Amino acid sequence: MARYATIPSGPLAAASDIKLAQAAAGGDRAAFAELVRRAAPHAWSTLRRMGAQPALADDLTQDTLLVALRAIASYRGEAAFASWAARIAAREYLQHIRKNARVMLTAEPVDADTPDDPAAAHGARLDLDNALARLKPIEQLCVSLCHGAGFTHDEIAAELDIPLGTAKSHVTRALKKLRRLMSGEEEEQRA
Amino acid sequence: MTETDFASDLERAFREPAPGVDTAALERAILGRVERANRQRWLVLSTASALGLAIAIVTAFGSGFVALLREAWRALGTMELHASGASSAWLFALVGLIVLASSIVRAARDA
Repeated sequence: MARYATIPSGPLAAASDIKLAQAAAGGDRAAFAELVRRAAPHAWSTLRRMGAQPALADDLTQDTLLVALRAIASYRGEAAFASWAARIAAREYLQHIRKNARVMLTAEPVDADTPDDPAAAHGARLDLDNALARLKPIEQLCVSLCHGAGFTHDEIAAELDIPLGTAKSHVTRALKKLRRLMSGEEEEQRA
Repeated sequence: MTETDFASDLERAFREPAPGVDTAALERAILGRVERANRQRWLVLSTASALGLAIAIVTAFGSGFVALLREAWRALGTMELHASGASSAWLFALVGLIVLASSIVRAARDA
């Protein structure tokens, strides 16, 4: 695995996603490596923000990029390759959830800091990842699908097999909570 | 924080990599899997080609050879080689050779 040579990224780094995808579709491994470099961090981050643990995010990111390679001829360059791959990653995670009988959606947040954490207790301003970890898993999933993977409310409802109104309310509630947590409004209210 | 500020903050934050991402490790793992998948594909193609060649060889030399042996056994018994029997053995061998050649061409094209 580690013996794969690092490809000099000079001219490739400047190439557009669609050019790289066309080259990768023609079997150019260096072009695909550059696409991986561009898309893997975003896919991994999307998976983590949807609620995947790091090891699972690693596995699903690998699966995602392999799926992307197989389907690369269908990439039309309408969105950034990283966004296209993030949508595939999101679908891979949803498939994983379905196989695991939605256990993860009913579980309580596992990454959230403890309530004794001074930052949480005083409503200090949090970054996105810490704020997401404080949401209910279903809210975390819905808001990440919507804002991280670019799914519409309709798509979220269809993928999760929930009514459209429920999907919308999960996203809205999550956004309200995120806003409060990310802006430190609790602190402001106290003051 | 206004609604617009929050929306743009959120958009920016979602584009940022999450903490703990190891791009180099992910890249190595993904490219390694692609490499392994290619090797497996090559192995399957090679095995299929080798199998094709083996069948062709058996067809070319097997039937012809068996026929020749039969003729030789009969010749030993009668002390003469039937011209027609020998011809049919060589016909088998010729057909086998054609199959062998087409197999090689197909294997080369697939590779």
